[in-house]
Amino acid sequence: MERRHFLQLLVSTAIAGHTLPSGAAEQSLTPTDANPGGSTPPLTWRNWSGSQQSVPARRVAPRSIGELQELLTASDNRHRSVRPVGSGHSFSALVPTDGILVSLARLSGVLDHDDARCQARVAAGTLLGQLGQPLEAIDQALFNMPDIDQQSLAGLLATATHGTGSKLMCLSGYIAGLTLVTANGEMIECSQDRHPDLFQAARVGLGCLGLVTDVTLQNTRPYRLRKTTEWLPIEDILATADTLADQHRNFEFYYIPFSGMGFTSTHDITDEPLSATPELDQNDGARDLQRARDYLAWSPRLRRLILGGYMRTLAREQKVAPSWQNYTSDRNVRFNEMEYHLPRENWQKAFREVMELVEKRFPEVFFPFEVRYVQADDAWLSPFYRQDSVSIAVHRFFEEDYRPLFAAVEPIFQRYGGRPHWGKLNTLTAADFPSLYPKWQAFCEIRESLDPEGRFLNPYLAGLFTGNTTHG
Amino acid sequence: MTQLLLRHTPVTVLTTLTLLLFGCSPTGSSDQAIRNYAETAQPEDSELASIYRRSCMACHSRGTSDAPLTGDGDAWNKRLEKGMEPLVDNVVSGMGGMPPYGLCMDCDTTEFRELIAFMARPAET
Repeated sequence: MERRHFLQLLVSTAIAGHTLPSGAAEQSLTPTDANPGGSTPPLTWRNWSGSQQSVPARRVAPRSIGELQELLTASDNRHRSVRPVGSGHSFSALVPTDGILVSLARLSGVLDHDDARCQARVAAGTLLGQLGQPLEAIDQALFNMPDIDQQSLAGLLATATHGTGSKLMCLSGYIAGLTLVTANGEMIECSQDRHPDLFQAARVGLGCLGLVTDVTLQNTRPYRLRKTTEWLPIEDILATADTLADQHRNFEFYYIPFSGMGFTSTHDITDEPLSATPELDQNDGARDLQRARDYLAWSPRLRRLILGGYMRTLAREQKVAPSWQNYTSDRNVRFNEMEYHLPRENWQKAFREVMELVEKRFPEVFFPFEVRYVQADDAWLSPFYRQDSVSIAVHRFFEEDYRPLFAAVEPIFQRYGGRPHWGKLNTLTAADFPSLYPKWQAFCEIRESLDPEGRFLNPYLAGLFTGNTTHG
Repeated sequence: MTQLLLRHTPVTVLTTLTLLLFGCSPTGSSDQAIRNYAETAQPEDSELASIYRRSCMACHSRGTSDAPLTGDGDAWNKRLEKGMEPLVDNVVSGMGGMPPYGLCMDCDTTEFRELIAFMARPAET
């Protein structure tokens, strides 16, 4: 019998004699839009989870930098706000606009490279998942990757997207230079040597300084990774997490709420031959956890017994593959997410409080918590600015109301000095950021100088940078 | 624990509940010929082919996600049972692992229909 079927058998057996109480696992569903918007233009734009939407007046994907400059300088467009969009994977309100939605998807691919420096200049619309092979062809590889690869390069850099590794920075930490087109159509190249202040601001720019058209990435030589996944009691994981994070190139763990169990994932460089043991499909796993929640939320004790018992039977998994094939997985089950990056010394206290809170007050939660390590960098709006961090993420299934859970855990993250992921849900306002980011004011001044009319601001960003939420 | 529960549960109830709970997982049982076709097939129209390469191919040509393979007529016919428009709506809103607009942020609904029609056309196996 397959392991997953074993869980299915356990759950169905447990509920065989039990009638679900009314209101068990009661969900407060987020209302859905009755009009999916597929038939009459202009179409509604939504992000991947459906938490954000807008109806842009125009959607465009310039074929060249010249076309992009013309778009920004055309007199017809001067009064319209402009927001860049990547793959729509941000949960926060960075993209929605009723103005012009600009995709850089047609500006894609490796443009040129410097072998001696191991750097590659890459068009900003390139999807992360389409970068591994071309880089390998020029004897280069990214230092690190997040756990999905559908984001565009511009989008993931604008939001300080990260993977895990206590000695590895977020991806913005590996930018050696970039080019952006400003609101008046000017093209500016910046790096540590050219326009250094603009460079530090634009490495995590939220798409509000200009539209980034290409990025020079500092890469490394191609490498092979051995990924090991192991299921353990959460207390064992918590006792060893910091040590494992320092021992392995990449280390992260997931906690499965209401199970007492979690799994660790480590990556280490290896010369071993390519190989793979059978893998538990994480999308199937999420669906099974949802079913376990639906039928066992009435008894946390039984839920823990069954889930924990099942997870103790799961074997260690191992996969050896080229780095770019061994970081990411498909995410077919949609969710909303809140993630805060905490000073490393604080994360365990925050994690335990979140775990206790969720298991006391939120039996409807079934998505795992994710914990990752990220090294400090010096990009002005990087949440890792001069702070080695541990990121804690909580999730809710996309059809379920995320607000009660996120409202309950966010004060914990804030109390321990957390900074939110720019692409994930949070409720911080303009008043909160200056104390979190020492270079906040400097960033605001550069933004104001490059875009005094606020063309790259939507209501969310206008609220952060001008205090005016009616903009956009 | 398992033994205890099993001893008190009629097999028929157990079987019914298991099916009710977990149903049938999608198998993605395209044969090798379809996989071979999906790996290389592209629309004849160059503009459509360009969109397909940058937005659709990564998932619909590999068979490693829940996305139906290009040329897997059976898989597409199931999705087309309610007509083309619900599928276009799914593309616009995003579906499963697929981002909104199927990653083509400047496409219109005509292009989405043409791309779906191309992917749904059975492979010549």
